[in-house]
Amino acid sequence: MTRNRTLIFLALLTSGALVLSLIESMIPFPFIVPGAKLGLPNMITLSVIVIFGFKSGMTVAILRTILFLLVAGNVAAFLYAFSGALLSTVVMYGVYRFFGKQFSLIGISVFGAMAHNTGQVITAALVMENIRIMSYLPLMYLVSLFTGCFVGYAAILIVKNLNKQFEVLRWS
Amino acid sequence: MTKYDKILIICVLIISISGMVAVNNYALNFNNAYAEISVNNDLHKKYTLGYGLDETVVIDNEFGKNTIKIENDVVYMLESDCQDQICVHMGRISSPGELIVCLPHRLIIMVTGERQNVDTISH
Repeated sequence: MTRNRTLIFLALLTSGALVLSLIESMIPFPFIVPGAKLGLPNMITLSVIVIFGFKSGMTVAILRTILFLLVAGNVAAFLYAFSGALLSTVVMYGVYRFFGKQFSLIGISVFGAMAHNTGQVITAALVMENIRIMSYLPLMYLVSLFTGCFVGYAAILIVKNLNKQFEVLRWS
Repeated sequence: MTKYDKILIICVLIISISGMVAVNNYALNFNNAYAEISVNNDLHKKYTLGYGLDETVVIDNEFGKNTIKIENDVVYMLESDCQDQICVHMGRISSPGELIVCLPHRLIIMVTGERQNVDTISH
């Protein structure tokens, strides 16, 4: 694929992730935990990591959090989202790179969701200067298990379809 | 969905549920109640109520002699050599905010803490 095509695809995926974050912020989450989210944009990050590699995945993750800050205008939420996105991207890439044969994208996405929550909770503990926030973590892990499975399955479908698209592009 | 995915999911389930149980047990320790014994407005001693505590505190000073009994989470004045014996008749206290006062001996026992009774909030 040419450089321009990569750029265009990354831009499209970033805007897709932005739209997904917006949709996600509109869904009232049925769980008891405040701050828990479906993690829909994570599926974009994961598929970008799989198709384009770590650097592009990190770029998309950072860009979508900054864009979401510009759209939603919530600085406190940006801090949490940013740290969570950074940590989850690093962890997902690490698992994909070194344990890619053992885990499918579902497992990788569960890891990513857990890392996202860990990053968020650590940031919250630092911001509020209260270590007791950490007691949220087990409950968050339980929630991230379900959202992670869902996101991972979606990422499998996205990767399959995108690869099909690229096959078509290569021969055109 | 590979074999390792299933192992991971089961591991996370176990970790998170055991973590929640651990947090619940640990978090209860923050809701302690304390018995604060103060003489002449100075904090004499502070006891953490509960945990099978069984203590007899004897306070003997220039104002007089008091014997305070702490049984698990209940505090009461066992005996006092004051004139009126009001403190002995004040009975047993256990919830935060309750007091036993022995005015002639300038002794105050107060239960403090974060533990709250439901009725004090809702009614």
